[in-house]
Amino acid sequence: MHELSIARSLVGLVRDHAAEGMVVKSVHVRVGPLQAIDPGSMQLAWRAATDDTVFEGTQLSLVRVPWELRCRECGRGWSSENWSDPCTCGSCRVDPVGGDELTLVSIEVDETSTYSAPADAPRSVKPGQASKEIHRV
Amino acid sequence: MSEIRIVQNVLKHNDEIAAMNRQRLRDAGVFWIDLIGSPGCGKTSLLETTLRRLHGRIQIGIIAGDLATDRDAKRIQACGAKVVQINTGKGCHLDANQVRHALDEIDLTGLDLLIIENVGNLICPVGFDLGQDAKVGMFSVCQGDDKAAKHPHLVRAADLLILNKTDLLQHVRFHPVTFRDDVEKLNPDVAIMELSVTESRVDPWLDWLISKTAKAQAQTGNGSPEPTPLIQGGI
Repeated sequence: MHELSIARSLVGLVRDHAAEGMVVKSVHVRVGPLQAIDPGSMQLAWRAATDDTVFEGTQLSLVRVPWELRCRECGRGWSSENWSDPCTCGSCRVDPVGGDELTLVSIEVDETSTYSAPADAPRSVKPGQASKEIHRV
Repeated sequence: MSEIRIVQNVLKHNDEIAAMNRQRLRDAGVFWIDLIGSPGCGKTSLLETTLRRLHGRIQIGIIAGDLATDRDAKRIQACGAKVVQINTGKGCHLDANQVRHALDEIDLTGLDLLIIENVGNLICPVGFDLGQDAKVGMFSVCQGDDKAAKHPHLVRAADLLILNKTDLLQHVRFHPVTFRDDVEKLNPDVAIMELSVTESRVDPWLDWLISKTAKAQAQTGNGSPEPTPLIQGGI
């Protein structure tokens, strides 16, 4: 259940990037297969980590990245759900490449609604700091 | 609705603390490892044997992670090592911050080697960098020869793999070739040490520790750069 630790870290990062008063509607994360994250457990952990915080109700969107494989014989590269796939050239000498990604890609915020932060709510960025990175969608 | 692009490692804060831990141990000239394996694979027994066999030769400290009880710590303490117990409660792994606090309780002066015995678990501890020099994955033949294939995360992350309880090979269904093939596919660079802690057949492991410890000390200008191996041709 390392998902709970990851969810707590995620809450901290989102807090760093969401300016004061922003309502965060969703959080987008890319996960490689080496992180061994169960999507159901991760959603449950996210709910547990955000309960009674300003992020309660924020959606967690997980994009699972497949294995990247490379054949040692012919050099072909491809993506697969299974690390032990043989290559189409017939070789079983296949190397997994990378796969340990765990990245907070973006957050989606609703600027039309705001929340009132409690006076003691922890903040590690100044209000407005993240606004330079905002893209309209 | 607006999107804020971030692209940042989710475990950034853990990794920052791990980097501080790494520097702290490097400055002290201490080689340290994160030992990861399932409950019952022989981690604590390996530490007991290691402490007995290397007694008087190198100074070893242990940080033992467990959900509950200090039984491992007591076993290790009985072998004369400096040991700090971390009880994680329901936590299934150690993180860099827990280790940072445990390091505060250990006098690194005069220490050559620090071993973190992680919580017994083949999955959760793998993704959390503690700052260690080497991650060691431990399996035993009793678990079955498919465990490397079923736990690619640990095999991929490991700098060294231990296969323990080889004295039981004739009693269990374990085909070393299957295990080795899976490891080779996942991580062709990692060495596999076949040990029997029960029979004290652990010399390659001890030699590896002695060699790595001497190298860490040589980098900080302490200790002997040419250790005497226990066996010839150690990994």
